[in-house]
Amino acid sequence: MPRYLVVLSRGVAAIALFAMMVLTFVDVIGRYAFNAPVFGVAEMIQFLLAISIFAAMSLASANRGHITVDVLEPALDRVARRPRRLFVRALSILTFALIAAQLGELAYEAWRTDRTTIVLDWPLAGILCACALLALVAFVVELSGYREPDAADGPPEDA
Amino acid sequence: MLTATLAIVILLLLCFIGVRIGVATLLVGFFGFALERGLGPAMQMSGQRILEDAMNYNLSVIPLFVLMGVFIYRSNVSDELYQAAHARFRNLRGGLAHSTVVACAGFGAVCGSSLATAATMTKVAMPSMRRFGYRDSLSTGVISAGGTLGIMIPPSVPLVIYGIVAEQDIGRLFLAGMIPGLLLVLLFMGTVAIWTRIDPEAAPSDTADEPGPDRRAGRAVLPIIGLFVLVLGGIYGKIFTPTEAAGIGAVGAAVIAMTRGRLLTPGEWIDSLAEAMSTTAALFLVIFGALIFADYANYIGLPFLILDAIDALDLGPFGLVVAITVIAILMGMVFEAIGILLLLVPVFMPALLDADVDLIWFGIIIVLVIEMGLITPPVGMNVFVVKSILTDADLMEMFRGVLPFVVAMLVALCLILIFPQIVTAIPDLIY
Amino acid sequence: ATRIVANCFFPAQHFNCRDVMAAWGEEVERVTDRRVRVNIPAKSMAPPPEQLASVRGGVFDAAFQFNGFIANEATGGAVSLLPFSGSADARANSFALWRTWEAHLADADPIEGVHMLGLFVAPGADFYSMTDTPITSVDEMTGRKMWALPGVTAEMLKQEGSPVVSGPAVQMTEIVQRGVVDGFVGIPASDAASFNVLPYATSVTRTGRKIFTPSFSFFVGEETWNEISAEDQAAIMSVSGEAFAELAGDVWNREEGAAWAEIEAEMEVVDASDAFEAELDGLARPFVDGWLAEAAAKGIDAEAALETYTGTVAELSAE
Ligand code: NA
Ligand code: NA
Repeated sequence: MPRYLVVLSRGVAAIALFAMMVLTFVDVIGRYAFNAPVFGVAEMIQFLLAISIFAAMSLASANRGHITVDVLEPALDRVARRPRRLFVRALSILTFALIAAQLGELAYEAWRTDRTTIVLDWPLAGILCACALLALVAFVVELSGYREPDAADGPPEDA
Repeated sequence: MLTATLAIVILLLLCFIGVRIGVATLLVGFFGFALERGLGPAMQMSGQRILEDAMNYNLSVIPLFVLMGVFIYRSNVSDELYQAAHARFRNLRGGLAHSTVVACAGFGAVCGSSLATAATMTKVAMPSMRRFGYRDSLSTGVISAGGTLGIMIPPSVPLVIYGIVAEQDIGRLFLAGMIPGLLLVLLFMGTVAIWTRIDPEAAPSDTADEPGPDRRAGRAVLPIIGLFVLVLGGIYGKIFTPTEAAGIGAVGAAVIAMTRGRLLTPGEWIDSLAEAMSTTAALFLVIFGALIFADYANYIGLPFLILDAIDALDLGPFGLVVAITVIAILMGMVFEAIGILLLLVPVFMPALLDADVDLIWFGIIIVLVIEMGLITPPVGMNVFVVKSILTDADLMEMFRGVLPFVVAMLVALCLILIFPQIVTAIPDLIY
Repeated sequence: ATRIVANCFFPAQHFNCRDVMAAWGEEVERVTDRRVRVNIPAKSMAPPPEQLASVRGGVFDAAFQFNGFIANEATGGAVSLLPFSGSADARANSFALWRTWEAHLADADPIEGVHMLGLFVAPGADFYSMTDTPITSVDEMTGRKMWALPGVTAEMLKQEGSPVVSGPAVQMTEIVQRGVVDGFVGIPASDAASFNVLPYATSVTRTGRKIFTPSFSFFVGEETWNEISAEDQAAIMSVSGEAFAELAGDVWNREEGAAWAEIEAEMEVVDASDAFEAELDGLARPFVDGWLAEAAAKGIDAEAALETYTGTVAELSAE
């Protein structure tokens, strides 16, 4: 189950980022070559960014790509390996749960008050709902402890 | 004051036992705020903050620059850059190490990430340095340090994040990073020269006798320069927004990769895109957490406490910057780069504004310091990355090898502190 | 002591934080003998559209809120956002809106969950041209590509078939600097100065009443307000309401004056002809009628509110 969720999030994240790249490119070409920029492109990119980030949360989790400090870890592991790991994992799970819950609450609030976006006038609740669901997927993946079998091909994950 | 101290202590403790920095900052910020105002307000505050950042148009530059780096990484241009550099430096003692520095700089000109630069150069440069009997401490040191050029030479993800947090123009910051980036290149090459002079055994073999690299070696150089000029010229010329420049850069990098026989299957595209987003999401978790913590710090008045403390110490603008630099160097030993940036900049911002510090200059200083943190022990991410590829290398020896380069960076830091013109000359000239 | 955490969503160095909110806070502490304290966080704790929601949700106690973001529930206050209702004089506008609020809106259209401390209205927006010809007629304006503030301003131009470029004001700088548009409209001169777009304009056309006057509500959460004694409440209101309108209006007028000094040195300033103003009034009519209907449906005496507002603006601007 978590594997399929990761595959799904992966697809969503990849498509959203691809769309972001193409959209900025087409917008610039349209603006300079045809004097016809895409209307509301900045807002579309904002939504794609949000969607891609929450979709990729579960990837980052499954790739173990999150950034840690790991100083006392080895030393602590000698005395209290299991409790430490459980505690650290519990905090991660709690964080993902909080993010999903917060987004869910904001989505509900946007739906209740019928909010629309500033430029394109799209219903905000739809976008927020998608974000909340993707964050929920990340929470489930984190909870399941699922890790991608091979996440090593490519540069390590940090800036 | 007590609450603030307690919050910071808990944050440090969590980080030390291995909690991800994004998780630790988010939870301390969230529960700290909940103690002040209640659970409901904490939910609302952090939810709004997460959504605001996730939908921040300016931050969309991050996944696009990361994607550009992934494409460049996959296009194998690093090999050719290294060969081209070596064609120039093969007659110098330690020529391979000099070439590594220059190739890192070239790679850094199209990649915004330090770790990716270090990782790719390990695969490219390490085999030949080993073949010619270079000492591991020198070769891993130069790769780890060279990797940091990825974030000083534009484009740079940390500079983008700093620009957004400090409300500074990203094009200006990128321009400002150019001379310090070149300065670091010179200092790193100087370090290699001094090292191999004092200790010729570190780079024993004279590679000048080897057959020269073949003539096609330099064919990556032109596309790389072209992409660099397109992306940065577009930002400086106000032709594109940074986000658009990053989108165009990603497309350009994809073209470079495709002309080199990569990115020709949908699977490889999805892999690259997903990899870029996975990196981005990990960064955003840090951003969410650090900014929620910043909101909490803000609420309990930490920035004003710091402002008062600095007033009482009567540091002056220069003293303030030096003090922050020292704190950042200490944090850089254990904390992750973006985390430092996001923890320090918001809480010190009122004090910096109050002291009228040039925030472009300060941005370059703080990025130089977090670069240093990437290679200082005990937690030097660049060194770890090199080690993860080079599993047989000795970590202690690697950290010893990095130290001369840390000294070089300290020299750069002092020069920039004393002569701010190093940073401001180009932006002042062009803007 | 009661602590009011007041959030300012403008950048920390903005005059609305330093000279308006912080100055008000000092006044409150003075008149209550520091029984009520006002704290302003160093950086905004919520995005601009979420100020009201954050006060209601208890994230902080008091805040400014751009009325355009809450127009669906604070219909009355939106009178000040109507095209050609306000003038270039922020003090007159702000005073008029407070008077309108007290006379027609406080009972008929209160904002749930909060106590209104004050209202303020920015100076209005003018028409900036980036070509050799100033904007002197509706045809002149709709024939070119304009950047317009989202909302009524952009809608007015769009309904005339103009190829409008719109988006959040903070993103207009790049659009203007890159030469994507031939003019811009919708923001006061002080904003144009701080967004760094004035150097790109060649001329500006001034109207008597302005196409758009951004306005803001300033409120405190009801729970926090009710903690304060009646005596201190009265003391606070003595430096809020009307006094606050004057404070904010004066600060904004001061900033606007500085921006206009820059404009007059840099570009041609044209006063709109009566014909152009009449044309613009015609364009605005459907939006004014729309608001009248909407406000009346909520039980507001809309005609009277509009009259009080525009009448007071006229009376005070003339001074
Ligand atoms: Na770079
Ligand atoms: Na370190």
